[in-house]
Amino acid sequence: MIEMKKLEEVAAICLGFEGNVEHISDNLTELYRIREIKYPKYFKMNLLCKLGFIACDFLIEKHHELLAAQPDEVATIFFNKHASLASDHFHQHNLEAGELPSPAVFVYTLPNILNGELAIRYGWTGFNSFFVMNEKIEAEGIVQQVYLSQPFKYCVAGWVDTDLANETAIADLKLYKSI
Amino acid sequence: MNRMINAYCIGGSIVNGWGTDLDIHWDNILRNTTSLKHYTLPDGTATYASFLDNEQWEELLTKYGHHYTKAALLCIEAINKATEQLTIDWTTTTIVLATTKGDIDLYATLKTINHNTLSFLPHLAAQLNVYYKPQKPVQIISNACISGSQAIQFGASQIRNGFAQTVIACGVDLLTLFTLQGFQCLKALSDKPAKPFDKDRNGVSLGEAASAIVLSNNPLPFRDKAVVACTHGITTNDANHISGPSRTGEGLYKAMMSVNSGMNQLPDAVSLHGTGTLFNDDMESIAMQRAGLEAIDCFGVKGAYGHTLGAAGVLESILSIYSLCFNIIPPTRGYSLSGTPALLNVAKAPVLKPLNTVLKCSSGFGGGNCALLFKKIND
Repeated sequence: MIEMKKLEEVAAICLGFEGNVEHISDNLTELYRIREIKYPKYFKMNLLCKLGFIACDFLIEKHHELLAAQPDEVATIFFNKHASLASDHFHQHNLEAGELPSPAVFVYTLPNILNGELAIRYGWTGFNSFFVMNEKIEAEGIVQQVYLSQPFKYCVAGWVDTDLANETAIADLKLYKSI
Repeated sequence: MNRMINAYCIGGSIVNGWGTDLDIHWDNILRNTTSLKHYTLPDGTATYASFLDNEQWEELLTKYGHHYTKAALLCIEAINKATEQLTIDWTTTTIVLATTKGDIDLYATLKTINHNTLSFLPHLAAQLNVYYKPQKPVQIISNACISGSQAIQFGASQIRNGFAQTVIACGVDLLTLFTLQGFQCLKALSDKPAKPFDKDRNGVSLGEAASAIVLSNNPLPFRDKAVVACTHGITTNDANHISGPSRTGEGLYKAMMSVNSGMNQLPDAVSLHGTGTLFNDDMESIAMQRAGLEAIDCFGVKGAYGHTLGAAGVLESILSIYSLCFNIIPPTRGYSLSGTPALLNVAKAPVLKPLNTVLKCSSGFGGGNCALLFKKIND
């Protein structure tokens, strides 16, 4: 019999936005200013990373102890449906328009850059991954399975998706702590 | 009492421009040849890349039908080849797909990517769900260049923890101008076939491929050769820049140390990531030195396959398993003189020696590092 380790949900945040990229980006930047975040690299991020970054700032506000965790005790696992499609679109557009491709756009054509941005910001060095799926429900069990593969003390996990066709962006993050 | 179940590697395949016969792949690797060919970018810049040819694509379309996307065709071919001598009960089998970009070729034919759901990664998974009808929907890991290795880490752990009897980890990435011009704008493309760890290396070569590995709780030999298990898998992150590796190799070092301490001894050989860029290969050599592995025989195959991105971790794991099966450390195509801060023991010609363990390392954009240990089980 497998010994099921307990993961406790210690904080949660859900942010939802509607509108085109510029509009959602403005909303997020408004939050960035209201929350008095000082992190200039934020402005270089694509929408997916900005969204995950702001949501994570809320999560930490709800559970400050996360900042005191050892760097290798913190894992990040994200899920979404549209991967990095919005940035893919910009890069592809540049190529088709005959413009020079931009490194600043191309590096964001991978969804897991969000894990990287958070690792850079907070110094977290634990497990990190990005799963892509059709429905949020398919993510069920993944955090537990990762825990059994590679235990962590904390895990920032959840749905972070930007859907340009339907003009929505959702970050639904949870902070898990092993007990 | 928690009796440890092992994740045995009981089947595997590689599909690229060399075809689908794994023994031919291994022979090509031992003969130190490359599948990379001269390729000219739209602006006239010369590079080297590895593609499937039109004949191969026609063959796949005829075999499986025109309703599948190219990435799906590659996955199906890789999974079918990996399982051809095995009896697979798909109702107890999980498929973990590793890819960075999936059906990226469809981008070029679209005016608005967002409205074309055919290019979405879940559509690739959906095609495999229809074809194989596995016990639960195909899971996709998209974690840059460690996707493939991480799919194996994740799959092997599901078996070790009793969540699955069989897991197939399949890595795939097509090669289009999207990626080629992307790497070009990062000034990361080599003008010659990639030369991992060599003093004259100046960038990556890219390749398209799919590769699948069958992991099982049943201790069958890998292609009737040797019983091999994936016993450890660790992922770390050491991002200090989203597209550049750590200077100190901290994350890779930690992943290697974690795997080494798990088995209480050093591995017999190391299959490195070895992209052929200045920074990556320098970083890996430093991590190897810090982990006390610089004298261990090591190799990299990206001078032969190019960097196959999401497929790389699986493809290179398959070759690591073959290395264990035949007790041969294969040569590193493109390497002749060391050009890394720490001198590594990179094989230039096949090295024959008894091998019981191979450490497989991957590193990627976003700061991810993944280390896997493959171990021969001599019962």
